[in-house]
Amino acid sequence: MAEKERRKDVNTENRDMLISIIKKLAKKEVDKIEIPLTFYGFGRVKYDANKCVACLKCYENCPTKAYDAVRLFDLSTVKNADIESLWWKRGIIFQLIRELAQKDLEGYVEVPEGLRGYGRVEHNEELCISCSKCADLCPTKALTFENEINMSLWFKGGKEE
Amino acid sequence: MIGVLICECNGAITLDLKSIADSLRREVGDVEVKIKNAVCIDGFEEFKDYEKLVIAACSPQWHERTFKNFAKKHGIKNIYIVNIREHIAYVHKDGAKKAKAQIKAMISKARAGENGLKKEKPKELKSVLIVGSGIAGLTAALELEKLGFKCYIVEKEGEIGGILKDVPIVYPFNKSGEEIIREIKSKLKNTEIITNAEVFSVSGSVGNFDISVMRKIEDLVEVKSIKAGAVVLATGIEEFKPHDMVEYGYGTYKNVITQLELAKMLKEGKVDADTIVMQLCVGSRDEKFFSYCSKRCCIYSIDHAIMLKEMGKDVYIVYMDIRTTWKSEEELFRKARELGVKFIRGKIVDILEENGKLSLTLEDTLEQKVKTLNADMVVLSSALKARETNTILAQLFDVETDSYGFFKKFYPKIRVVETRRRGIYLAGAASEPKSVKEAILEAKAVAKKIATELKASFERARASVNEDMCIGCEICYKLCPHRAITMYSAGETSKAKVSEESCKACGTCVANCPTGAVQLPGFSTKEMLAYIEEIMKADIEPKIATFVCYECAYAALDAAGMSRERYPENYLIIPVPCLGRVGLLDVFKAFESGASGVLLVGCLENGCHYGRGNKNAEMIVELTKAILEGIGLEKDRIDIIKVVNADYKKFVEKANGFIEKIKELPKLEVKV
Ligand code: SF4
Ligand code: SF4
Ligand code: SF4
Ligand code: SF4
Repeated sequence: MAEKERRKDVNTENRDMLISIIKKLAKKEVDKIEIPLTFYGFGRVKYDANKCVACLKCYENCPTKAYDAVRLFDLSTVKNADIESLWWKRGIIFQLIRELAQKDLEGYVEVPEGLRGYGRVEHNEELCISCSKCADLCPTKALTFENEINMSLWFKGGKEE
Repeated sequence: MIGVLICECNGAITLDLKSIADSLRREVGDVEVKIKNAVCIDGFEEFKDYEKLVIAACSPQWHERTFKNFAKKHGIKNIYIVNIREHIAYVHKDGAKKAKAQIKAMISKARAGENGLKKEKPKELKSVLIVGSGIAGLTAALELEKLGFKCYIVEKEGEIGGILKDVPIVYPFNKSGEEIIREIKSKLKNTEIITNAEVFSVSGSVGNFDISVMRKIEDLVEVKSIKAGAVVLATGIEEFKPHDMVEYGYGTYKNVITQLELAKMLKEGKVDADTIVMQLCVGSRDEKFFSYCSKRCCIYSIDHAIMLKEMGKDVYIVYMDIRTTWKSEEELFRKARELGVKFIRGKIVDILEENGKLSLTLEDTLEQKVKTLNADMVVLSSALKARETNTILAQLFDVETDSYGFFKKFYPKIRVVETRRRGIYLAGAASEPKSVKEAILEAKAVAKKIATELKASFERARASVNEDMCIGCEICYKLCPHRAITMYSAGETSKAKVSEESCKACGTCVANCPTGAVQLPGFSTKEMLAYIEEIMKADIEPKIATFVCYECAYAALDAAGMSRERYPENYLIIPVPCLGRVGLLDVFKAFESGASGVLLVGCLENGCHYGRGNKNAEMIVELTKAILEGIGLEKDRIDIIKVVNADYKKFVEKANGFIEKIKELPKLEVKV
């Protein structure tokens, strides 16, 4: 798969070394731990599809190519989004769709290739190194950082090839 | 072959050096070990042309330079100093095991890399841009000219002179501010003064800044590009206008004015009032406004009072404290009293105006009475505050300001004209209120500093990025305290690059890079890990990995040594340039290699010599605690302590306490 191809050979040497040491020292395996702060490299990305405008900045800039761009526009986001907090124009479009809709807004609409602004991204946590680049770039704060480490991924080990 | 030289230091190093040397010969391959007395005097000719030499002797504080000079003379490329005197012999009863481990660790490090000292490129630009044309800016220009620099002064007002130009008399010069300014200006030969102008963009780094300046000429705007090797921020100070302090009615009553407004009247020689009351500390030393002392108000209020007295006026000064710090100032204070200026300790609580006359209610805190007083004029010695424009300039030049908007000095006591960014310097009141005398001193200091900085080509290590390994995560870019890292785009990704001039070699980037692409020679991942692994083989239990920054922390341990303060030898020293160089990998590597505890020793809260290394380290400690707990280990295994060299006792106390906690914990088990 082309997407996976993009990810080959992403070097995370130091981080891998750290994780393998922690594994060796661990007395117990836990799924996740809470951390008192997020620090570059540690923390957990949270994605809010209702806020995402599919600008694909995260997808394009993630150093480990942890995002997939999904060409499916989730209609439920039109239903769930907080119109007030959307950008003005997007708000009008969503409002119009809501008004015109003849049936419940759910399911997916396929987005034509090359069109931005609709669709969503998928975050593959096993590839993520929590650098926070995506969250810093995301214009709508659809990506935020949680004070948590998903340790289960560390213990599962190895990158997805 | 790596050379190892152990110094006897005239018997001051009371360790069994011979047996240490023997076991090194036995246990470490490919080394040449020698013991010698007074290496600092005799040098080490016998290791001529060695690639690498480890010297076990006193603290590098004493003889690093000496050893480096000998190394140059003997053609030795890399030297590594192990401090077996202050850090071992002076503080432990039997330090031989620790000494052996520290030397072996240094040999491993030497084997893993090069210390990477490289000569800097000489900087060519012999021009300096100065922001602000007050006494500090002009003096800096004059001094820099003497040293062969061309200067550009950018002044945002139409006239030069800053706050000083309005001051009617300046002691001990006995001249008006205007005269002083005029005199200095007339001496300037190679300085271009650009008035009505502001800096609006800055790029480049020390030795080579490109600065655009916008100049207003009537309705037009002219843009000028200036190339400068260094920049001096000499923005000075401005007076707080106390409109918000309703008790004084400033802005409402015509005859309630500020001290600087009085200064202008005195300069004109015309003051329309017979009874004048001055209130000191208006807004200064006041939690609601400016909690600091503005330092100059006492003295220039007294100056003005004397002038008014000499004009035959009646003068009162209402004060909290009178602070006269120079010898000559105390004399002025005396003169004012002799001339009959009336000093009242207290504060004006209310002012009313009727038919142009002011009636004052004031609290006399000495007599503990409320008094009333009539006056024709009230003069408020209002706080001196940072220039509003400082915040914008700080952004443009990428330096920091404090909570009041003054520029932050690199280090409050010993590096007062430097900022955290190389090439950007401070002079005068831009960093805090100052007297004319102090501003002149700083301007002279800054000129010398720039001359050395731009002329010197130091030998020092700098970080660099391996392009092929960098994945462009921007972590280094966001963490570098000196903004030495820039990102550039390279095809689909971006990559990091280190500016040789700006990098101060703190190692923060190295500690936190997830890939290992950015490295600092001497403290690269490989060298550090090799060092940690080796030192944790020491035959001492329990072992505590002690990361010590080469600044205050290292010096504090030296000071503990000098005063022969004993602490357990379980603290195995891992020196780092700055605590910022300690990352999670280093900490966990220490645990994996056999440490039962980890202690980070760095500079005081706001004393980090690299800005925020100790703050980063604090976060690393917090994270480590959370992870330790998460994987079922004790979070008390790691701690951090911040010291200043004079307060070495704090470290000794900590060392004696921390070990007790660690001794209670079981040895860590490592799965294979
Ligand atoms: S950067 Fe934010 S808005 Fe843009 S695609 Fe990613 S998550 Fe969505
Ligand atoms: S935090 Fe970094 S690695 Fe993780 S998804 Fe965002 S950009 Fe990618
Ligand atoms: S932290 Fe490392 S991988 Fe990330 S941008 Fe910097 S050098 Fe590259
Ligand atoms: S060593 Fe320090 S100053 Fe140099 S690039 Fe790295 S973080 Fe910046």
